[in-house]
Amino acid sequence: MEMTPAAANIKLTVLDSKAQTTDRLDSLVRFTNAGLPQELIHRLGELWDARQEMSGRVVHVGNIIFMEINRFIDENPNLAIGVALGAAVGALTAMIPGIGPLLAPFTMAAAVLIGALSGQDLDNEKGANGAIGQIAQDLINLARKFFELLASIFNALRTETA
Amino acid sequence: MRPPKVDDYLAALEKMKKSRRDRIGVLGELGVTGIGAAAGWFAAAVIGAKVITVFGIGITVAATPIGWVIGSAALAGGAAYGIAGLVRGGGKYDTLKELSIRELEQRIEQLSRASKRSLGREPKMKNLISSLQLLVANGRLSQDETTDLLAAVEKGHVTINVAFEQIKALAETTR
Repeated sequence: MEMTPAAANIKLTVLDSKAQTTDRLDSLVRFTNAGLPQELIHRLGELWDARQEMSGRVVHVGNIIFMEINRFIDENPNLAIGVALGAAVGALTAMIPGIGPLLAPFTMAAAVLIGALSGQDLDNEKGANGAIGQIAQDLINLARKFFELLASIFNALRTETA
Repeated sequence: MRPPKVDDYLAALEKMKKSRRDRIGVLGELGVTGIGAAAGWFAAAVIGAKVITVFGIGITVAATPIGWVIGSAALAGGAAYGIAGLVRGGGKYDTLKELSIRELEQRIEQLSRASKRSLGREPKMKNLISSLQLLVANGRLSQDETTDLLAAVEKGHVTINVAFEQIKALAETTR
């Protein structure tokens, strides 16, 4: 989705203003009650304070990402929250250059915490090419479609700044 | 996102209090992850990709070799963050958890205070609404003004007593 910096700027202003009304504690409560490990929740929670300069002003990037992740979870109620969160973080990391370092505490904690458990599953052919691979593909497509607008906004403004 | 209820806050508080120390930090203290920067990056690239398959299946992109996306994300993150920092940060995250627990306790206290307040003034609110309905029926106040006044009382911008005084004054004013 191509977007001009001017159009992206307006959309970002609206998003930024909406994001400031979201509540960090409410998100932590949601993730905790959904059974996510505290190690991941608090590393993701750290993202809350992330700010970035875009188009000559400071944008509450962390709040925006939190809000959009929550919206993705809301709109996919039948997806397990951990799966939705993982898909969201993965899609965001892949689609928006420069966002990796912000999400790194979360992605790397996930890696250390449960990497060993899942590695085996991917190593066998079924995991990589079979049914699990297909589900993975569908999920990533779902998340990418959802975050397409956000990625376009960020990328349009990043190109403008570069 | 639906705002959590008091029960949700209580459940989360209990879970947080019961949760153990940051396990990643504990691993670091035990020296399990003392693998050096290069090995750490390698581990992040390899393990990172695999992790997301369990945690969030969607990370692996079809056209991309498995693990590439998250592996590269982990590498990009690794440059700024460092896996060693992640592991040593266990204490920091325990502190963050403690802070969240305190915040939760405060939020629960605020909510229960607000709930007690609203119980105490429920009869008053009913009277206020009845009085306002009368004024609307008599054409002394518009529906919009009534709604705004009630919202202001609900939000605490106007006390219920001040609202009563004002509508009493309005009712007593001869047209």
